[in-house]
Amino acid sequence: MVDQGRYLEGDRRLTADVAIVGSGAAGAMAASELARRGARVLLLEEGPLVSLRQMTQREGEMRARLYQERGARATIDLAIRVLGGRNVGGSTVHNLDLCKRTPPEILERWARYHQVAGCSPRDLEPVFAAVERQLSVSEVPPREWNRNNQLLATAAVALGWRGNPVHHNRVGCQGSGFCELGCPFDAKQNAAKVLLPEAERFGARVISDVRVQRVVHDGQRARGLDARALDASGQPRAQVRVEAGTVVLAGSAVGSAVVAANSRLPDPHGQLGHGLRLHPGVAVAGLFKEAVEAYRGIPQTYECTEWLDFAEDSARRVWITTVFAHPVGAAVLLPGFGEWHRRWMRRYAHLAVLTAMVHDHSSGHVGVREDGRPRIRYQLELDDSRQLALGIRACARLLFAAGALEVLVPSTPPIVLTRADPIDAIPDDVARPHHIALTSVHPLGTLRMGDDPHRSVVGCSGEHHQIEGLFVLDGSLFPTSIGVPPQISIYAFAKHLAPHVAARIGR
Amino acid sequence: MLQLTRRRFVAWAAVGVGAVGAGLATWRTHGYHVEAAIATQLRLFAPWQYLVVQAAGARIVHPESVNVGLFADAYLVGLPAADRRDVSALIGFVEHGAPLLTGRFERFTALDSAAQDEVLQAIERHRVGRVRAGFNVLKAVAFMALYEQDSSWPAIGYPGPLVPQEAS
Repeated sequence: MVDQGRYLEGDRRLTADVAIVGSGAAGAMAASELARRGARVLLLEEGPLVSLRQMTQREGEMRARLYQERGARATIDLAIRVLGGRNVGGSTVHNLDLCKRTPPEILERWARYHQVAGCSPRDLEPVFAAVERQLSVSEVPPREWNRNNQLLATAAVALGWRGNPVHHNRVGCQGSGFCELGCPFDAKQNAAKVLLPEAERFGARVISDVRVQRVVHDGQRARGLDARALDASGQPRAQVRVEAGTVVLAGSAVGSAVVAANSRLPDPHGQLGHGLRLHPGVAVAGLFKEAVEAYRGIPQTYECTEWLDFAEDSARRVWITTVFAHPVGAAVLLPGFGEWHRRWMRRYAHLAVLTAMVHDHSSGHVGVREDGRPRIRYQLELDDSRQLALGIRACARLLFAAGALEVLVPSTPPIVLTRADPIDAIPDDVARPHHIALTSVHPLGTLRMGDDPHRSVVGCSGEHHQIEGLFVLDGSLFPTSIGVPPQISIYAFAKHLAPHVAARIGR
Repeated sequence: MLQLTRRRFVAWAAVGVGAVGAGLATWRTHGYHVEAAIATQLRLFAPWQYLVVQAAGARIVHPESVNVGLFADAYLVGLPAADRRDVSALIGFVEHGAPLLTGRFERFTALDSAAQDEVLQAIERHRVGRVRAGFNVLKAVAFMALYEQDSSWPAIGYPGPLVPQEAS
């Protein structure tokens, strides 16, 4: 039973063995693992508890209920939208349930170049397997693919490109197609449904609507958290002081970095907040004679990996899958306005849409703005921008191979190709910031792990190099981009490192 | 004969700049009329700001029709103060600065539809990224105003949510 901070009366002083910040994949997994070991766990979540009844499938309402800054969070130059969860269950409540393991090449590179020990493919294999069992992960059978995904699969086969069905953590899916607005049918086997109830069964306490301001520490040891309960509109109310000798940051690569920055942690080598990766993505639409109705069915069930490999210095760093948005999202992504824009919106049901996401080398930084919100700085490097252009061309080829009459690249000004047009004419700089809508749903790597304190913030156990008892267990840990949707990686790292946290409190 | 000393020059210049500033401020915010029924509903916008957003929004959603100004006022009032300041600056830019991008000296709200479209396109395609981003903010709010309404969905072939609305 989640306590709702919005109903807390008066200032509170709470105690726990372990205080966890954030209830998404990492926080919920850590809570479950630690509570199971007998630790007194207190988990604080900034966002609200959203019931199934409140999952109305309406964009405006659900963006406000589920997303940070109502879905409008962006890099400081407004070039890239950065979506993240703000509710009990975090981003696992509104993600698309894709389950992919961290590529072994990435894990090996972390060991070789980032001094990450104990996280090799062999170390993590049983952890991935256990997480997948816990979350009921399975391959989505072709009979459940919607038309958008069928078209992608058909095209990949026609072009002879590598592609395959993906795995999901959903059971009893109704195929309504509203995954990114939360599932009113409770089909997602996510942090809120699977892990938090388990943690609570073992005695963990979960409180929503509480924003953690800083980690309390004495320069050597973590002592707890300072937080504020929020009212229903997100305005601060009562003070919440948590006394806990062990603290876990699990509020995402953006949220955890903000709490860390506010906490004035020792940062002798200037690493804190640096190394942000975003996996920026672009969308490309194909117009079909048939009604595709991509807004229905499971949004992403097939991937094309022809343009993605994880070799060092790879020239193929683009992951392609399907994507679709409900009307507001689609209207905002489509370029232009007025009559031209309406003409394309009238074709909404006939559009198939693919997305190209780059396994990025660009590196950004998360700091704190004057009003306490994150300051996300990220400049897309030329090489990554060219990879996105490569991805856009690949999406165009796939859409035409699937039978598209026209392909729309939503740049400004827009590029509309017919079957007779040369795809190679799409320029290398088509994906430069502010000229096309760039979206990130996978911020990673602001409190990186590694044995070398000169190049990382936390050690390979997830514990801060300078502050004993302060752990980071979320995607902030990752030293580089991972090139695939990260939820399974985040669950797995939290599960893998939780025993180190337990050991710190003698469990 | 009055000597133009350095001190006098600075004093007169200060008075002159102040007068020009006051005149500009008056010019920026006067000559606008909003119906009382609408003005009483505004929580964030000054009447002139409402008219600018309403005019720009009308061109963005054209030929559909929706009150973007009122929607934007209600939506944006919930933003953090820093963002509200940015929005305010953006509205001022659209009304008084952006027409210059197309060689026009009138206010945006005084232009005809075709000229307003040209101005909006100039913002949308401006070489400065933050200006383009400003256009995207306007556009996002305008399309939220339009496509969050059930009545807009049949025209695009979108059947809407599967759960009944009373669930909210």
